[in-house]
Amino acid sequence: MSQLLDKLGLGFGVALTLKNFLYCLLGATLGTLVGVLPGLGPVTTIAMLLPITFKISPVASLIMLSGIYYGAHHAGSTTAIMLNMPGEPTSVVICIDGHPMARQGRAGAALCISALGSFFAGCVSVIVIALFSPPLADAALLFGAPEYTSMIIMALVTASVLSSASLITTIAMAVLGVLIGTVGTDVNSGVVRFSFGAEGLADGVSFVAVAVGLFAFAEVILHLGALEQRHRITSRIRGLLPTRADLSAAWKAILRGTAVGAGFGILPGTGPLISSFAAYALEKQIAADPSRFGNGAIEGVAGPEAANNAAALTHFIPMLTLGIPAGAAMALMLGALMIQGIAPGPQVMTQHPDLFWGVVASMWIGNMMLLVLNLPLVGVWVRLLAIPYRFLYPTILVFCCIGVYSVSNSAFDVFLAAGFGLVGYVFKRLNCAPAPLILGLVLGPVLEENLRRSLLISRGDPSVFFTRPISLAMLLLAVAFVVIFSLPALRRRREALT
Amino acid sequence: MRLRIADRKEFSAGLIFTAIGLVALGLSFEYRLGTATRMGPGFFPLCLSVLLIVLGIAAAVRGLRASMVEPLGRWPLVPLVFVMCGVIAFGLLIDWKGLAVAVLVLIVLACYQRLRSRPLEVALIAALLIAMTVGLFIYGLGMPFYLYR
Repeated sequence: MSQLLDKLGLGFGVALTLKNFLYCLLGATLGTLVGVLPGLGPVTTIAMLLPITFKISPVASLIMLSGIYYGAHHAGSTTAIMLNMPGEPTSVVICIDGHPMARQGRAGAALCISALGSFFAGCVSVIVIALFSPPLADAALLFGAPEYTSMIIMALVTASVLSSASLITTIAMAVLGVLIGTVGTDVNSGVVRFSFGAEGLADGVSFVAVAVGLFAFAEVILHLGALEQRHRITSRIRGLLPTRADLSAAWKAILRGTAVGAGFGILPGTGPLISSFAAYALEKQIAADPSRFGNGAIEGVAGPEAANNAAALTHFIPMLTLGIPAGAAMALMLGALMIQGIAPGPQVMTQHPDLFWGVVASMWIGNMMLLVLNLPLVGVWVRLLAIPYRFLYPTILVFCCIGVYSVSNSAFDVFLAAGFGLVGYVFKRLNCAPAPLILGLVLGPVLEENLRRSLLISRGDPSVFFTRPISLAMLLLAVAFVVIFSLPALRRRREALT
Repeated sequence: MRLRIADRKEFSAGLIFTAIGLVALGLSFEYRLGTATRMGPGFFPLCLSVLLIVLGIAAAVRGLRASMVEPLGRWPLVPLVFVMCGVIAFGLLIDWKGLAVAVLVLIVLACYQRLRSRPLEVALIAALLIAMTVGLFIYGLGMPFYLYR
């Protein structure tokens, strides 16, 4: 216990330096901005800011990027409540009961409860991360190459299973990502693979180019093709304070939501998305009067919002402790760390304790900042919604192009990003999720390395993955996930919700 | 016999995956494959290509026999073309003519639609962005870009 306090002390020491504090504030603010504005999501923003993070320290980059991520999750509910328009996909459920509350003139109460619930969930999640990461990392240090291989396979499969598109195409996207990851110099033999003589590919496909193209450019192109939507602000926020009845109904929902979110967030894939849906379903199931739901039941706002934010933080656990990104945003952050020279994995906690604990401490600080950003300043954000997309997207494009170019002063990377923008557009139109591709790209080289080593150790015997208990357990888990989430009943439910 | 492709999106996706897999398969053979115990550079890509082909065929079959009809839908191509041309133009121009010109051309191409109806607005956006990026990246962060050549 005292060791934990020491570590947390170290973390706060790192997070509270002026520089890191400011980056945390910047991240939280950007995240709130991005969460409120439609057409700009945390993944796009992180992809866009990746090149800038290479100029600042790894700790500061991670603090800022993580702030953007959980900040966006906090803020998505603001537009869901006010305009019946979710700022983030994870806030879709909040529209169902949050907007009716706004129409009843109780927007202030909804926003307040949602912000308080998020803050509570965030605090709990930080404690969860602090408590469970060290033992998890210690356990992972016992992993050998076969365990890593199985773990990566499990992560890729689980991430594919939990997305809403067809399972086959999603896994294919992950495989494609791994395949793209093989381009470049093979570490073992020194042979340059699939480069077609292009110098820009000799070191592999630029991860930043893929990220920016696939997420930022493709998003912009898709948005430009969609129809413009006009939004009206439903009601002015009269009073911010909820009634005592609201509070007493909501606090239990917040507790339940936090538990659900903390659990689901760890799952690779769309953990945070599923957690808000699961929390809503839970609240509706155990409510005394389920008919209130859909008409402004406060539990329908408090529970899912708490779940959403708890999950947004525990989503970091696999990435920080095991080096396995649980989603696209995590994959991008992992890529950023790798380019800065930090090899992700369980050893990060022991080799770079300032990084790990600094980020954990900054999550708590960021949560506090978000409380201020989301409550008193909510009027500012809602007014910002008036910015039309046509002013936003040229800015995005310009920053992305400059960013990609600046990584290695290479115009080739810019062309590559354009190409992946096309790829992203085509696949999005065909209902294929792009996130598994970037997951595959980031994890591919590690997978190949560990696969090679496993087969070398076992002298070509593939049963090594099945005879070692941890490895077998992970593969079985992967299979279990596929089976559970492919069951027709659950598929129909999921498709109905998403 | 006419093929009724129900889920066109999945079918097309399957075709694309299969095609990429086949190309990758062919390319993998150019590298030494080795054995499972001592994998050569071509081994892993080979496995992946085969896997991709299998998944692609599975997706195509699924698309053929889907119960719900999912047409390909409209694919607005104009935004795609203009944004991509803008980005490619940026890549070509930044080394050749410098940052200011590259940003200008990018904005002109990306805001093609607005250019016809409200050219002043686009000019304003362009001016603002050029000023902002030049100020931030060249003077603020000191990055080695050419301003104008």
